[in-house]
Amino acid sequence: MNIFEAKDLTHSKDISCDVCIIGSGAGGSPLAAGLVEKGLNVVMLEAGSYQTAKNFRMNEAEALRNLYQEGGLRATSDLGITILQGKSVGGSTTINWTTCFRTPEKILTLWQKRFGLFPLTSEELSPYFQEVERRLNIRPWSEEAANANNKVLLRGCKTLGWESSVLKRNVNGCANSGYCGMGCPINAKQGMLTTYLPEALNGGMRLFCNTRADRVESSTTRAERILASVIDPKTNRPTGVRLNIKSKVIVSACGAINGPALFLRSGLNDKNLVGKRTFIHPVVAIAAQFDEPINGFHGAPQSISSHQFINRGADKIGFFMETAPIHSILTSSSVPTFGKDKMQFMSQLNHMSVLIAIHSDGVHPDDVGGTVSITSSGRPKIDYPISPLLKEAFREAHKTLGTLGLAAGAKRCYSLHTNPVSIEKNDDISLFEQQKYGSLEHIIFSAHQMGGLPMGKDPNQSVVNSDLRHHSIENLFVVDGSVFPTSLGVNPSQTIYTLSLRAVNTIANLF
Amino acid sequence: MKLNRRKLVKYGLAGSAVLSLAGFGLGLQGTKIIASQTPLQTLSEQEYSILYAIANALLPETPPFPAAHTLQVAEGVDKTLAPRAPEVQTEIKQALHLVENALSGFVLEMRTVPFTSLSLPKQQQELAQWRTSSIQLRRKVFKALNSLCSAAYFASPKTHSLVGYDGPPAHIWEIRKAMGIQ
Repeated sequence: MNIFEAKDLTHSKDISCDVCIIGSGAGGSPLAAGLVEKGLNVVMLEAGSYQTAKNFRMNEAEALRNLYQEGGLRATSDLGITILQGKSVGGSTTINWTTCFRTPEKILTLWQKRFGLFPLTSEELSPYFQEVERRLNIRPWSEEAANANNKVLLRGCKTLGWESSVLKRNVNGCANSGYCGMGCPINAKQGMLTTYLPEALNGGMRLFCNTRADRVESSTTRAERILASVIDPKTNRPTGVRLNIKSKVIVSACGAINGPALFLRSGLNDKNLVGKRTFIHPVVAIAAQFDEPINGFHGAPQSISSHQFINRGADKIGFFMETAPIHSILTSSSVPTFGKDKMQFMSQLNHMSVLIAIHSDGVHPDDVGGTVSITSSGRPKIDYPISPLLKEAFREAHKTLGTLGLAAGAKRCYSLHTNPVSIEKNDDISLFEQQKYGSLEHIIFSAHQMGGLPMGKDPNQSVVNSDLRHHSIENLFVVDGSVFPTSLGVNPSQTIYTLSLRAVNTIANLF
Repeated sequence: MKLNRRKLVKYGLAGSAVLSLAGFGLGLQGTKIIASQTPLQTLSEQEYSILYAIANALLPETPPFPAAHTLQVAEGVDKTLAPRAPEVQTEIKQALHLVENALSGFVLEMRTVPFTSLSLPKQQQELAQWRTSSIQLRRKVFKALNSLCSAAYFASPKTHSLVGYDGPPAHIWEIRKAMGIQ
């Protein structure tokens, strides 16, 4: 078997290959499968563990510990924003909620006009979109199969005359369990673990798990090698075993936080652009309480969305609405109250719907997002100031979600402010006006990390070009969400798969 | 009084040292020590004791919900922190000392005894002030400790029936069995 885990890696060694891909998620895996098919010798490094369906026992605590960055504790440096991001073989595709969208036309047009990404048209990307949709079985879920949580969103939108649509999901044989975020227990999710990764492995790719890329060594024009440490999965500390990988081409595919951090540890920041313009689709939420059970922990976590407010005018940040699954750890740790208030809230967990507004950051010309830097020990540090533009959007999003919940028949809607607001009728919506918005004023989280190593035509404004190739280091590529110059306004996984497939020929043609 | 993060952490850390030297003379008390039910992996005995008090104040017995200590919440948080980066562990330890410290407590709340020696209502009153404080660092400390304790508490299967959670659907286990996923 060509999968190596920490227990197999007992001695430091040198490795040679054609292409070394750092990261096994949505960016790394389709690329790996494509390159292996072209006959290239591919090595993949993954900092997380190799976990498969047999490990996915629908236990939330276990999943957070084993499948999420920093055991589910990743956050901005002020702790204002919780960042949910995968860390195991398959990356975030192992724990995402399977929602798929093609890159919106509006975003591609924006990228062309503002960042000179003229090759990235819908027409150019269409065959890759289609191939990804075929391979990952991306199809619309059915309205009938939507769980009660998603039906709240649907009902609210219909009552208010707002746009809503049934989502597409990358699943095959989904049994509607509701545990997508803990790793699919029956391999129905068509994430990397069950699709492109096995293809790459069957074709001979070597996968080194529990192996963290520490730095890329390079000259001004060539990346030479990767120095990596083997990590003990139990202690999360280096075992002392190191890998020295000499590769003709190096691909960073470890996501929009770890990727920029790797570049910074490697001194690859001559233009001071790395880690800047980090976008996270900041999410705010309300909980809507119903008389009838919602049981939001069962059923596909996301099956309905509304983009009614994605275009709020040129001077505002837009948002789209979806739902979040309601498992007890994530919910309880997001509720800012304590004591009797928290117990009272939690005792209604199975009657709660959680409606979320996901903000499309970076699209407004003044919205520069956040920054990834590194600590003295090399750990990623994420700073994300909440701008007045975003605060305005958060306020509107709370009012909108409250209106939606009541329209759907909720008897009460709660904000997740440090001092929560409870509303029971439309006249109460104005209470949201009086609240403070921003970091540590209410719950904010992110499940989509983008940017930090943006693509663009101008080497003084971007890190890679539209072929995802570094502007000055000719054999260094970035293939993941960190290349997005703005957020998307839709869930990003399909765009990453698509760019990854598109990069196959670019890289293969170098050999 | 305007306090920034550096000053507050300074109060927390320097305060511990000052108290250990001068606390006795001032009539100030040390941390009320509680023994852990399991060997600690991350926290010292003192830090565990502070966390134990905070967890019980955040998640007190509220029938039918049991108190945090009966679900070993502080032990759970200690275990959660073990594989985390040393910087993260240090920040949480600083947060615990900051809450406990009588000197910072005196500056912020006019109290002269450590958090662990306060009555439960007083502890809850103080935590409520941390939650909505105008000082961002206090809200950060509250959020960190509240989230960690809540996660450890509601990870316990003993809370599942209390929140109406009936566990993973039975048919999924049957599908797994049929697929040979064991």
